[in-house]
Amino acid sequence: MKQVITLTINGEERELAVAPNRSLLDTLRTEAGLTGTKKGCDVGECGSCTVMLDGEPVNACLVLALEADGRSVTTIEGLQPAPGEVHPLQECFMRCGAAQCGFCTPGILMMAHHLLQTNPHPTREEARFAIAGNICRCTGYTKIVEAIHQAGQEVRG
Amino acid sequence: MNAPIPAQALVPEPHDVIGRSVKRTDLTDKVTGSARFTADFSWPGMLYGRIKRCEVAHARIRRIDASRHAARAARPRA
Repeated sequence: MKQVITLTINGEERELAVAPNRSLLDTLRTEAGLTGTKKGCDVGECGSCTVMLDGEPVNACLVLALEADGRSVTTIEGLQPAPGEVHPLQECFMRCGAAQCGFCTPGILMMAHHLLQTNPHPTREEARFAIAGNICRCTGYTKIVEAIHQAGQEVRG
Repeated sequence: MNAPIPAQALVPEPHDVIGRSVKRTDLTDKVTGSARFTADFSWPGMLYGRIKRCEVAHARIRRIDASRHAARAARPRA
């Protein structure tokens, strides 16, 4: 039987009816209609479903919607400072060519965003470690690491 | 020995595309999550397919009973 949960998604409180076995990922994509969060593997291996749950990055496919009841979720849709504007980190990703097919990009951006919040000026090594749980089959990671590193340098300057 | 050819810099006409960094038109959508991949589309009454694999090696398929699934596919949806 479905239960009603309350999620604060990107600052907006939503009441959603979900089955007990529903993942937070499916809830975001289907019930909340936010398809920016991607379902790559659905078993916690690829990191493309990374979202912030109360400010901590999680694989949304490994969290039950019921576990997230009453909590706050930030998705890729919540990263933009305003409609039509992009976050400086997103700007870096575009300038560095850090997105190719773009499927892993939302998850990597969420993870990189969390890294920059906790460590504003990461080294390339630290950037690499932070996205160790995010699989990208296009880029070879070099430009992603460069984008995260540059984003940290820009905040400094 | 041939006389040295005087070096002359080639000054190409400026191009609109060649030699310039061109911004990819898809990147804004991809970094904001608004890019729509196949799995991001849905329509009311959308049907889902799945692959039924053979459970026996080297078997010959004689018939497939799809009546149950055909009935489900034909059922009108709200």
